[in-house]
Amino acid sequence: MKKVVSSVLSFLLLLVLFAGCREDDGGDDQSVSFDRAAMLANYSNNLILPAISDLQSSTSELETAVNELANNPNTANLQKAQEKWLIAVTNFQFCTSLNFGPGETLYGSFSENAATFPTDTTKVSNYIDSGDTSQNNFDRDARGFIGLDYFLFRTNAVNRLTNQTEAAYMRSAMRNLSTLVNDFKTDWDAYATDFVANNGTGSSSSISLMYNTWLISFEVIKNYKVGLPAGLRVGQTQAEPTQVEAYYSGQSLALMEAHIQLIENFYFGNSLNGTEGLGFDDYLKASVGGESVYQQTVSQWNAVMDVFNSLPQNKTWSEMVVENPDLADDLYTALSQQTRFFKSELSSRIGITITYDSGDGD
Amino acid sequence: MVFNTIRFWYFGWIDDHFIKPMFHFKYFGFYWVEPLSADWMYVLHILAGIAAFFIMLGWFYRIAAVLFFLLFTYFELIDLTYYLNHYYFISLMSFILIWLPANRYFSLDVRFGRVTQLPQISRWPLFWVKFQIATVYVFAGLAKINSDWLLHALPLRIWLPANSDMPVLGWMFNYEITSYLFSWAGMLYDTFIVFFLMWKRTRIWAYMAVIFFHGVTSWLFQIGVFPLVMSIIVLIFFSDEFHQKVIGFIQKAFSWIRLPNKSQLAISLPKLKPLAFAGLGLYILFQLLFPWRFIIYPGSMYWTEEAYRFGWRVMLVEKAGTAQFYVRDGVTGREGEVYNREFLNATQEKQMSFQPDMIIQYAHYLKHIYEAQGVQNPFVRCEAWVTLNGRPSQLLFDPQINLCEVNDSWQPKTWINPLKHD
Repeated sequence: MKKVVSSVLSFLLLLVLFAGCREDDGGDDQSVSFDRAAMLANYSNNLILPAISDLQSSTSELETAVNELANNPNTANLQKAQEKWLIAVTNFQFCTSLNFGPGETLYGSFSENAATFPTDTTKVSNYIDSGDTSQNNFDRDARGFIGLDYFLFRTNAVNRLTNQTEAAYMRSAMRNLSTLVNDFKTDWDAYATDFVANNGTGSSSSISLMYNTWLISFEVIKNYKVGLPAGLRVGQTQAEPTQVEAYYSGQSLALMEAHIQLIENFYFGNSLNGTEGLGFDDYLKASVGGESVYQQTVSQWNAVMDVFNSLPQNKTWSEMVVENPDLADDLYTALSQQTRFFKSELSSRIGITITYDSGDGD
Repeated sequence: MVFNTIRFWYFGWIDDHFIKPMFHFKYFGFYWVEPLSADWMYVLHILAGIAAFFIMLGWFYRIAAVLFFLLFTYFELIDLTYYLNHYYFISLMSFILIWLPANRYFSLDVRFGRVTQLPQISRWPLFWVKFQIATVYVFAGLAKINSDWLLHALPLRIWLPANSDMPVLGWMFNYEITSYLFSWAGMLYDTFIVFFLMWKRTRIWAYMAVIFFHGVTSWLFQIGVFPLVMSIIVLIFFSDEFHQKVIGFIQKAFSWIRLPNKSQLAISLPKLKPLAFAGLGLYILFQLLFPWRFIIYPGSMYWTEEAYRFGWRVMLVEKAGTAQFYVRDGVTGREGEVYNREFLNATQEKQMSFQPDMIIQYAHYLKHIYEAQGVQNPFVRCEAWVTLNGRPSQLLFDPQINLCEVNDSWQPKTWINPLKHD
């Protein structure tokens, strides 16, 4: 018996050594370690917390301006509120993928609650007519950043706000939004330590949660910010220019640019001011076959940016989807071709578990 | 299995798997299996749990065994997405249990005089169970003898570093040599463990290997109850005396369950009738041959997925894909992309994205859905990029094929592109 065991063991040892020697296409050295905790710390300290902080302070300034406008509707106050709105909603784009942890609640995700588009003006009118300023409902398309887009940029905006119930509704929508944002900041500040500590790759790890919501956020750009207004969804027969993110202000492209920047920052682990840090890209490069996938990902991403940067500057996005359907088409196609690099190519190679269900690893 | 039912409930899987999805992927040949209403699904899960509990007590054993087998298999057949070899194993084992005299010794059926006690059992029931366990391990081991697993340590080279936060062993996973070691050890373990369990002198060591192996894999991978099930079920390889001791121990705890004295026992054993013998033979033949059916399909089974299931091929591939579906109106020519998340949950989408038969089913479903929404003569195509064990992604098939015109069958799927970098 001993003979059998020892011969099996030595056979095993030999084969392992043999296989180990043969294998050198893996590249550099034998270690493939990647510091996930450091990567998470980079995301938390340089991408997430500063973005939330910016969002909170600019939303607070927006609230002051909106209340001033509600109390005293005039053109100067409107202009001030519009400026503050654009700053805050742009900052929001850099938080729009954070729909996990404190960003995921029983009442929907943070980005849904803060900025569902397009605004349903019928619902808004109904609430105003009935004098309901409780905001105690699930009609997220009747408030939030995008609801304010309607109040601040519609025609006759100042005039309509002289109506007390209109002003009261706008004020309540603003209060609802700033509470949401303040709570979000408080919760994230408390959650940040757990976020960095939870550095595994299982389905409830920070990496998996962050990756999943980031991916969904990318698909939101492709499907809802580009595809839907351009009429590229199955069953649509034409472009639908009112489906853009910020129809009344005509700032959809500026917001999309910020959103795309967020997607890029998270892929490369770049901070808000552009400093490189450990990110998905570095993790990918440390994985089996990761380097070539990384190259392909970057080259496709450059193609996306080329299309985006070539869009005419003198038109709004809702004008463009109607007047230049081929440009919208090109952007959509480029984003579509990007999808697999962010989706299966990345998650499969770095070994992130995407779902809670037991897998085929049985 | 009582535990497994509770686990399904606890994780909300009854809801997620059977109730919420608007579309279910069907097993070939079982297209008629449909989920029932939410209330019924919960009732059936309670029933399955009770049945498992009755099997454990040996009370109304045969009815409970039949019920459990039918219910468990029904749950599995509802959606192909959740196919796992170990659920197939549990279905088979519960089928086998129906035929075994497992309630004829230490059971409430004996205690309450529902059946007479048997002092011994024939060889065939033990053989049947051991055979089934052996097929799982040996086939799983043989399947690991391939170049990805042994020469490239894939997919472990992807999976292990992702688990470097594991206590005690974690630090080793950052070294490639560990993946090779685990690959080879895993292959040898699966292929030979049953033989070491059979042999009395190596049994105890083999069992310790079983505990270690399943303990580690249970920690590393999301594989549910399988490690627990296997760790307990292989005890069947242990001697009669061992099981007598276990029963003696339980008996002390439940002293009201009295076993008759040996003298009262009848000695005649039921013999296997010719028909039953033939049935058992057929079952064994099927189990031996079915996993080999991949041989008659061209191309790599890991790529085409033909003949992959029901073959005890476990932990073999890290495979993922992105499948984007486009539906074109046959009259207006306008084409749009499908948002998969509208129809599928994350697990369904993930599994569908690289499995050709599921892609066909989903394409046919989309045709049906969009036809109802007014798209005329839908042309459904799909661009599916799939990566297998870290290889560069490639198109699974020509993205210009109209999938509405492709049907699933036992025939080789010639429309699938061959795997490059084999």
